[in-house]
Amino acid sequence: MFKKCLIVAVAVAIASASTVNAADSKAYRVANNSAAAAKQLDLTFAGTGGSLLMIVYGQDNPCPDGTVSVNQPGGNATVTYPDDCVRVKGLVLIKASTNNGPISISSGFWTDALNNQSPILLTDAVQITVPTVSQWGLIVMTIALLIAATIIFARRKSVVTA
Amino acid sequence: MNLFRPALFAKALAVIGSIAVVGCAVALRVQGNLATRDIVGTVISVPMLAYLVHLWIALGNEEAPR
Repeated sequence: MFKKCLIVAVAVAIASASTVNAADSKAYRVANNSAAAAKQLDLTFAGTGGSLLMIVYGQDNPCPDGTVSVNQPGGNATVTYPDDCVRVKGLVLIKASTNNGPISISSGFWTDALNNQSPILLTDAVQITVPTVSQWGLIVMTIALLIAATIIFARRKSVVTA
Repeated sequence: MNLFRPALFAKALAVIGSIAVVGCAVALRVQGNLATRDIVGTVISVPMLAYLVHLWIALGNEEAPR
């Protein structure tokens, strides 16, 4: 009886894994590929569905921490620095999260000290990926481990009883 | 100890597969869509789980006469 309940529980867990919330979070490294040093970075995200959170966790060396303001309904966010400290080819590292998703940068622009705007190329915003194991990877590893353990214990038992 | 019994595995696969299909149908009904990764994950996990269940049943049958 216990074994049957365990089988049903595992099967239901596998099937219900697809109901996991589609919340998404991505980190990007945005390079200033405009012609001038910039003081502000504006980014517009797709897939936010009116829910957006963005943090800056790194920037070009001479810059202090930027001020982030987020417009949730519009799906856009701005990073502002006191002066044009983001040098040409300088980087800003951001992490954007949403309760919906999948999130991605759809457009953006740099603003220099003279308030000239220069659009970013999407190739300037490189997604930073950290290798992780998905929930499916964990499920597959668990089942593989159970199979291996079952075979090992069964063999050990048959050797003892032989 | 026999580690693979095709007839038993087929039965286990049929039962686990049916449960997974029902689960997917429920998930589709609740969520409105089924992601490709979930379909791939189910396709990989179901035969593995069926094999595990087949092992449990086969080993249980081997132990029963003693």
